[in-house]
Amino acid sequence: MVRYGLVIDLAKCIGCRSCVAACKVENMVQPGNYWNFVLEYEQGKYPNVRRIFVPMNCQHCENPPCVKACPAKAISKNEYGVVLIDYNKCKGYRYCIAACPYGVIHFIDKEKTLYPNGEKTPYEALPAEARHPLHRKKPGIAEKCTLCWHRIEKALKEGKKPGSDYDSSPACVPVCPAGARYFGDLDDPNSEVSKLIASRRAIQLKKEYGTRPQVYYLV
Amino acid sequence: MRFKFAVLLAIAALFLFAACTQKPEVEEVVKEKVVEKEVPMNLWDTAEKIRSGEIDVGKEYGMELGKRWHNIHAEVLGLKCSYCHISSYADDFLYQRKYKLPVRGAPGVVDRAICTGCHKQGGPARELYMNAGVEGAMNP
Repeated sequence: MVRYGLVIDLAKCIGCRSCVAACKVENMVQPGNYWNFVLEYEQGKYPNVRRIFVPMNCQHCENPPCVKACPAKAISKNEYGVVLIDYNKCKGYRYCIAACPYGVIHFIDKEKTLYPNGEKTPYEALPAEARHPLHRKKPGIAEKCTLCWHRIEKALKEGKKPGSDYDSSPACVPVCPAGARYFGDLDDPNSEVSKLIASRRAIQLKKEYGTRPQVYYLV
Repeated sequence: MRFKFAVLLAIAALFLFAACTQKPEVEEVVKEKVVEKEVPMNLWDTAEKIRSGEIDVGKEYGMELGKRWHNIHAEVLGLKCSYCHISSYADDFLYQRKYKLPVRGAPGVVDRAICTGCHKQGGPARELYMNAGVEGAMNP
């Protein structure tokens, strides 16, 4: 059984948002929506203060509330543990957005472009057929991080191990200049992610809801 | 020499005891939120009536007023609007708590203890949150 997930080292994260930018470009996320973003917190009292950055994206829960909440049954968890929205089935009910305790699902209310004048960039102008199904977004549906499933899927088809090189990892992982993000198989005890979880203090967000996230944070 | 060793041992034991009894800040933050609430018996009836269609909540799914979501939660159950809607909030209102890390179990502005009252495992409504509210399911 393969179960892909992320490990994010909060001690290393410098809050540069490289992951945010890489995700935006890779997945053609329109302005205003974020599949990946960074929360900032201040800790301590002057003069002993510090700022903590917490990158957030879909937690690809083992027990995802969004899947259960969707009346259209448009969200599913695939055999590799990745939670995906089927844009053809999504009716824009937004129950998933309300059910997700992490606030990582976004609604596309209308089509927005990266150019301020409303003109489409060459990338945005690509016809739906020329895009991966996960990039065929349209107004009136929900969207969220896919763990760059299009990259993982391609790597699997090519017989490569997902996460083994730049192109077979989620876009946010290799671009991190601090090396704070790790991707791999959580069920493989010899994977880097499993070793990190075992050797460091790794926690899951809002574990008390029984969602069992597949994104771990090293604190 | 033996006396000094005994004193040092006693001090070490004291420190160990203090460390064990000290409650971490994390625990306090988490505990205030995970309050297992008893679901009133009539909520089970209501949920059943909604499912059977005895209580008409409409057939149209959606978050807009007049559709099922608000019909169930606001009209039938009478949940206060302020549980979910607050006068001003940032885009990340669902999880943000100033000075508190989400990793420390910050409940977010929308307190999900309200949701988990019914949407927990074995609750009257559709199960969304497995084992919600169960102690020990939290991070250390």
